[in-house]
Amino acid sequence: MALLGARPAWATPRPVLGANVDLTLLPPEPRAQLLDRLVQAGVGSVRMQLDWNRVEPARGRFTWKSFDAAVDAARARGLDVVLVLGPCADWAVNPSWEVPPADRCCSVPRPEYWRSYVKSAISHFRGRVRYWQVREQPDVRNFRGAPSEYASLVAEAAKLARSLDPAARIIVPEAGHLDLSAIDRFLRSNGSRSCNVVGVYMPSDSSRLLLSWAVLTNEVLASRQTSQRRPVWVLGGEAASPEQWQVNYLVAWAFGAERCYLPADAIDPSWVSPLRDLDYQGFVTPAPGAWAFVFGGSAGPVATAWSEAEISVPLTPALNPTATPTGTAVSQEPALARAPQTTVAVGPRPVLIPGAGFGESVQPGAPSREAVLAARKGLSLSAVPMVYFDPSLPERSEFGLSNRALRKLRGGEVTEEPRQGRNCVHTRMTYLSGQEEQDNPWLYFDVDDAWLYFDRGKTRLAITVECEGSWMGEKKLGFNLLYDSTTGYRFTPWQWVDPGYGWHCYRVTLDDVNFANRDGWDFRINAKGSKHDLWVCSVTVEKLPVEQPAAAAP
Amino acid sequence: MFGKGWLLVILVLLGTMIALATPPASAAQYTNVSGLQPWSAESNYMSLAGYLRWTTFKEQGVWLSMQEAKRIVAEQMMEQ
Repeated sequence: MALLGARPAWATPRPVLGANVDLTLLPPEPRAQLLDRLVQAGVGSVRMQLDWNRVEPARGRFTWKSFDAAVDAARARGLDVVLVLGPCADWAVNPSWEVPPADRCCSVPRPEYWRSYVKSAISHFRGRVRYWQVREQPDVRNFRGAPSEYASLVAEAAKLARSLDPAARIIVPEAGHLDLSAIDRFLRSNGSRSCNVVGVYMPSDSSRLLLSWAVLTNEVLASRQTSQRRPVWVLGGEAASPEQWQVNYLVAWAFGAERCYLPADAIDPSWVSPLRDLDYQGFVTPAPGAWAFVFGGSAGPVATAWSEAEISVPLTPALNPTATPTGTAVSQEPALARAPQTTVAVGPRPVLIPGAGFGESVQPGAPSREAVLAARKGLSLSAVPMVYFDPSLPERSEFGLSNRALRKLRGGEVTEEPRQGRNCVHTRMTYLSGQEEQDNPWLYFDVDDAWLYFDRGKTRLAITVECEGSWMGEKKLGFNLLYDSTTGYRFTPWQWVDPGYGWHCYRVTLDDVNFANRDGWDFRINAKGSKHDLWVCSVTVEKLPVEQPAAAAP
Repeated sequence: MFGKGWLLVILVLLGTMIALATPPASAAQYTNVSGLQPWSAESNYMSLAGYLRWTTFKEQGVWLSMQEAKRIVAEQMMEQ
C-alpha cells in the first residue's frame, strides 16, 4: 500500500506536545528562557498544579500573583495552560477525619471549601485558562478518599466551570497507569457526563504500552456510543529510561491521543523537531520485539524504529529508505540513524529513518491487539486450554503463568525451595507483631496476555492451587485469591488447607475475571491470616466452557 | 545574569522535582474488602477498615487514617 502522495484517511496528526512544569517556582528570567526553549522545541501547552495551599493559604484569602505571572508568561508565547485543581489545602480537611498534617494534601476537602476554591480559580482565570484537571490522580498516593467523594469533586467542578465559563473543559485523570478496566467502567458511568477529556498516565513497563493502547482505543473507546466517547490526553506517567518518554510520545501519537504531556526536561528539539509537520500513517514490525512507525510528510515518508533490546533490523528492498538510493539513512541529528547499507541498529531509543517508506509492509492505522501480540517474542499461547506454574518441571516451569518476574513486588518476595521431593515456592511471614513490613504473604501471578487479556468477564476460569497440608492442624493454614475482576480487585472465599504433610489441591472458579496486567499482575495468592507459611508446588489456570443461559420454556 | 548553566541547573532541579512528585507504579484503587468476614483469618483477625489499612500499607507504604479507611469500606459495603 503506497503511503506517498495524498494524505490517507487514517493519517493521524501530531498530538499537541505539552510540558509538565511548575512555572511558579522559577524566577522571571529563567522562566522566560525555559518557555522560549519549550516553544522552540515545539511545545504547545504547559500543565501545572494550582496549589490550593499557595493560592488560598487561609480560607477566603486568595493570592494569585505567582500563578498570574506564570500563566501570562506562557500565554505570551502562545502556550495554552492546563491547571490542576488541588492538592487539598491543609485547612480545608474535615478535622474529624484525623488526617495527619503531612497527608492532608491528599485528603478530601469539605464540599463548601472546594466549591469556593474552584469558583474563585475559574473566575479568576476566565479567558486565560480553558482546561481544568480535577486533582493530579485519584489514586492512593494522591487522593485518600472513597470513589464517590472524588466523583463529587468532579461533578462540582464541572458544574461550576460550565456556569462560569462556557469555554471551560474538565479533565478527569485515571487513577492508575492505563488502567483499562477502570477507564471502561468510568466511561459507562454517570460520572463521565462531567468529563470532557480522559487523562491517562503511561506505565513504566514499556512492554505493556502498545497492548494497553491497542485495547484502549480499538476496544474500550470504540465500543462506547458517540456521546460517551471522550478525547484522551496523556498527562504524564513513568519512564524507566529517558528514551521511553520519546516512545511514549510516539505511541500516544499513533493511537490518536489529542495531547501528550511530558516532563519539561524530557523534551528536546533533537528528537521533537524532526517530527514536526508529519502525520502518523501506519506501522511495521520489522523483527520480534521491534516496532517501526511510519509517518508521512511533505518531504516524503519518515519512520521511527525502536526495540526493547539492541538489535539490527534488516532493510529489505521494501524497507530501503526511498530518499537515499544508496540505502544509507540520512543522519543530521544525534537521534537520527547512522545506518549501515543493509541494516539499521535499533534499540530502546527511537531511531529516525528519513525516507523509509516500508512500502507494502506498512499496515495502516494504529496496531490492533492481534498485531501487538503477533509482534511479541516467544510462543503463542492463545489456543492452549490451560497455563501453569510448576517449578519442579525441568523445562517450561512457567507455561503462560509467571511468578518469578513478580517477586520484587511489595509483599511478594517469596522463596523457591525443594520440599518433599518437589520444588515449591513459599510465603515468608514473620508472625511477629510490629514486623508486618517484612512479611511476604503474597504470591503474584500474571497470565500470558495472548492467552487472556481484558475480555470483560467473558471467560470463566478455574484456578487450581496445589500446596502442602497444614502441619499445625485444623484451621491453621489457609489462603484466598485476590484477582482483577470486572469490578476491581476482589477476594475469593477463604480456603482452609487440610491438615497433614501431603499435597492438596484446591480449585476456585471465577466468573468475572478481567485480567489486564493492572499493576503488572493478574491475581495473587494471599496467605495472611495463616499461622505458618504456605508452600505451593503448582498453580494451574484453565478456561472453562461458558455456561449458556437456559432456553426459555415454550 | 542567568546563563545557560543556570538554566541547566534549573531544568535538572525541575526534573528531579517532577520525578519525586511522580509516584511509582501503584495500585489504582483500594482493594475491595467488602466480601471478607471481619475478625476472622481472611481479614487477619482485624476489622475490615483495619485490614484495608494494613493491605494499603503493605501494597503502597501508605497508612490510611482509621476514619479514611472506614469511609472507603462503608462505600464498598454499599456497592456490594
